[in-house]
Amino acid sequence: MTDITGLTIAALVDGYRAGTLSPVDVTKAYLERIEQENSKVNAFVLVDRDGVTASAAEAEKAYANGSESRPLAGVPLAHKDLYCSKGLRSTAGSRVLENHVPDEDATSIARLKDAGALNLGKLNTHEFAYGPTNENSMFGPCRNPWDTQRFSGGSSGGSGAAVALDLCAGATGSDTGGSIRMPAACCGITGLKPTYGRVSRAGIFPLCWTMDHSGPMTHTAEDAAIMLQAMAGVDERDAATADRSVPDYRAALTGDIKGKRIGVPTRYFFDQAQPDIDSSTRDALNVLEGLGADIVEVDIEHIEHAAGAALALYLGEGTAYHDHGFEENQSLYTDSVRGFLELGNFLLAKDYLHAQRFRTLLGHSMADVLETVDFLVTPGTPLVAQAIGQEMIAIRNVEQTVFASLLRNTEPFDLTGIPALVVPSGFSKDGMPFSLQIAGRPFDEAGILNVGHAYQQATDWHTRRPAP
Amino acid sequence: MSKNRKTIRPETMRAVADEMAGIKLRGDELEARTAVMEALTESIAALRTLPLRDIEPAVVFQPVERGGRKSS
Repeated sequence: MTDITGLTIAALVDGYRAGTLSPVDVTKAYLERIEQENSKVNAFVLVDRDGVTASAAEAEKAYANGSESRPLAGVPLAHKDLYCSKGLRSTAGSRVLENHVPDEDATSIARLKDAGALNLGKLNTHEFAYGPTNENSMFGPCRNPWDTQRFSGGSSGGSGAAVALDLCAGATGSDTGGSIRMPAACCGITGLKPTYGRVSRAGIFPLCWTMDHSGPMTHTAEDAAIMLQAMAGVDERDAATADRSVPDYRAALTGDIKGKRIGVPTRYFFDQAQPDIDSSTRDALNVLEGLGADIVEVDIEHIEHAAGAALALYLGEGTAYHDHGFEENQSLYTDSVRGFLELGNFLLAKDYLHAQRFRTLLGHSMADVLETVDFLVTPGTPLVAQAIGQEMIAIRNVEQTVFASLLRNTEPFDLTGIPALVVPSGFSKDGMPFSLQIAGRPFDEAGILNVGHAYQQATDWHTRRPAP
Repeated sequence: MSKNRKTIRPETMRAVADEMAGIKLRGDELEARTAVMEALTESIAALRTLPLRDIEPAVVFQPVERGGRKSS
């Protein structure tokens, strides 16, 4: 029998409803697995053993008396430490917030609890989400479960590593330049960045107000749909949330993508990809074509300026957010994050606003392309996870920073706010995960989840697990 | 290509890192980080050359309304 910690969220809920699984037993199995495996990767930074055990007992009782029908009842999740958790230390991975215990949950956590989810604890993050590797954290680096000498990707690295290693059934992440999709890509799991405004940012420490997104990290697109259903919707605590209806995401997973037009923007997204990532992405496109999709090459005008614009936004907004109290607290930040916060002091206001104007320009470019195709498909990241501490990498004879390479393919969809999903799509010769990124029109999370689901019905990459 | 910007020199980088952030850079680190910083700064400055004349920033002001949604 499959270890119960290896089951999907969908399978857990089915098992609870059929009476073949027990929330108490499942929770106990996760706690034991965290005890055995977490030290290898440093994903969990807080385990709420007593709280989750009590909640699991309540869920079990509710299922037993037939009163439990909530979609995530009894499912053990965990949350990025950037999210505020009522009564639990929530640090954003920074000594600045070393003793911070919020008195209110982030909206996403509150909504997942309302849907019946259990909370195993808090997950490692790059300090204040200001970096793509999760090397910088007051708790130490989060390690990649496929090779613990390598980084997990970040900033939601604890979420990526914990899901990949079956330490929780699913996790929350946040994504400003790719911080859900990069660790999902590096750790071989599924990660969804919804449309800007689809999911509330309330109660999540900001990195960059105008680009911060909240979303689920899971093994499958189906599980991401289940979590998104609970997280999505307008929130009075977040003025950026969209007041529009939330569709039934799981019902949209037909697996039928016949006749759907998939655009492949080879310029920029493939130009600087490691050659084996390029070829694995083309293999994945062949799978989608075999499922009936039409594959067409497209070009996104001005895309080459995405990194500069995103950097201006991080620098401007990040430094503004941390300005309050920075003088007193600056020694508490890691050198890397403190350096970026200092650098933001030298950004000109006009360059910040040019970056915000560029987002509109790029948005028009993407909207033009998405009038001719239904979806865009690219490699999730242009490189696999690298060694912890490695700063530079040469790809196709171009020397570049690991930081910039990691962000290259994900940032454009934070700038434009359109939804993007990463799913596992293979492995390198040395056993590191590859990933496929699927982006779509604003608020078409159902569409991209269905493409991911169709791909996962035809492949088994999402079922692979790191060796213990 | 980009307007109104001076190239970052290693001595500028050393002063900014040390005096502003208290970060001491060795000679080899200084050269490498100056190159990275120059590329980053150039990428931001390059936005000034784009066709943005008739384009507004992607930020919309919302008048404060009691009882409405807020960003906390």
